[in-house]
Amino acid sequence: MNFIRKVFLRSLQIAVLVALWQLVHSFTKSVFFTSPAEVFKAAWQLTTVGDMQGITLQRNLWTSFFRVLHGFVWGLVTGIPLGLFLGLSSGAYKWLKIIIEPARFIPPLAWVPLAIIFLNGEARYAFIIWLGTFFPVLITTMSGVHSVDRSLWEVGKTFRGTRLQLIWKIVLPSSAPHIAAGARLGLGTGWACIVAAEMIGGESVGIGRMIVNYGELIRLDAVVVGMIVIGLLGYFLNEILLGLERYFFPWQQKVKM
Amino acid sequence: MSELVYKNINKSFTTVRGENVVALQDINLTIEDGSFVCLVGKSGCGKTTLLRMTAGLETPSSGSVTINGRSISDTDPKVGIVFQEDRLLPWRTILTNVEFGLELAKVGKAERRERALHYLDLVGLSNFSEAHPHELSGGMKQRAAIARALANEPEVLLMDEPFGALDAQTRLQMQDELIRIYLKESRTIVFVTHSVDEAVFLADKVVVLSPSPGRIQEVVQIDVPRPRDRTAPEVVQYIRKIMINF
Repeated sequence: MNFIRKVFLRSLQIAVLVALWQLVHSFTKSVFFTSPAEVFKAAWQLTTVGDMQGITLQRNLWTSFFRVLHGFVWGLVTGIPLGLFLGLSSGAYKWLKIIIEPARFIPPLAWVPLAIIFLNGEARYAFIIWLGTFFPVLITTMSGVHSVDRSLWEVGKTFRGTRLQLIWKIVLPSSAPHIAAGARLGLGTGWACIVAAEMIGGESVGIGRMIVNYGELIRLDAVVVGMIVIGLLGYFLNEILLGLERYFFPWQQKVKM
Repeated sequence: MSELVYKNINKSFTTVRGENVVALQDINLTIEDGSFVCLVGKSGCGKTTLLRMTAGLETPSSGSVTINGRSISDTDPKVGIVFQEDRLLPWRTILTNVEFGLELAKVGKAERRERALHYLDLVGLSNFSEAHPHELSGGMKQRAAIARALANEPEVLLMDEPFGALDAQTRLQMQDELIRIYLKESRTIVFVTHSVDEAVFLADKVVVLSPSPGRIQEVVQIDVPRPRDRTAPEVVQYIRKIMINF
């Protein structure tokens, strides 16, 4: 019942949005401003026939999805341990701060030329997406370690726990929700980097590549299809991770405002 | 055997502004084995500091706290503590929370479980062993915290206003249960409170501290057999006696 209501409500919201879009379109003279109908047509064309190279939308999307996953996993594998280490050792952080803090403000897009020169094949994509994932994961893991409740640490101390025991049994579990939230953010930024990553060229498959190709032809209907698809997939992935967080960390009650 | 002796304890802090504050001055006190002692006083009289020193979480500026003649300089497996807040680990069930101290002490799994269940039963939480702390009421969480401290079978149990955050009714119920546990387990208990009623109802000996600087104002022996009636004339008399100088 609740589910049906939700689906109905969402459909209504989308319908209103599409109607508004159509309205704006009919008042606009520009030939480039694409209409909902044209986008639907392009979407149908792209899924059934494929793009100008005959590659279907699904295949473009899947390919990009696995590239994102590839970079994302590397982001987790490197960001979580390093975040834990730097969170626990303020000395190490002091030494690496001058590298890490400026580096995280460099947009992944700015790394593209370097990636083209020094890397090839899938590694290029993975690297750009890794950049997008690594820093959010690193920073949230570090702040997760720092946010460990002192009073819980004290409980461990009164039971004469060793430092290793307290890290394992208090610091890790209490920073886990922060790490999960960081991973979710990292996946988001990773997705957002896919177009930048696929601008590199080389391979002809990928949703970002598809957007760039149609962009060069000023075929905005197909570009918008690509945009919507990226947005939707990102949304669903985010919902899945949110659901996992709620399942694994039920004690983390969110404040309702 | 576990006798606590406080000898010439002084403790001073330096505040952020650089002022020197004397929290405790010339504390001399002996707590006999198996006795129930309450430390009462207004906030800022250093009663929590004294308790934390006993737990090895703070050190005196001068003087010494000894347990059976051995000086306390660090946390001690013989000394357990229940804090003002329950301080349960939110990601663990009630049962595994109670097992926590035993786990750190590397007690085997089977024995750990058995002891945790025993103490959960003692505090009346057997039916909630699989629940998580956020599913329980404040009083139940505090009972779980008591079970966690007891599970490690400390000789001395320190309690820092453990019922302070509870509503009046739950508080009375918890006092009754604590006395029941005390009579059954016969450990030394040092209990900090700001409520004179609570202190007189619970303790063998009430130590009254006065603030700034914190020192011992008087020590009152409560000679009323247990179970005590909160409204009995002799209990009320003790309360009045302490209140006059409070």
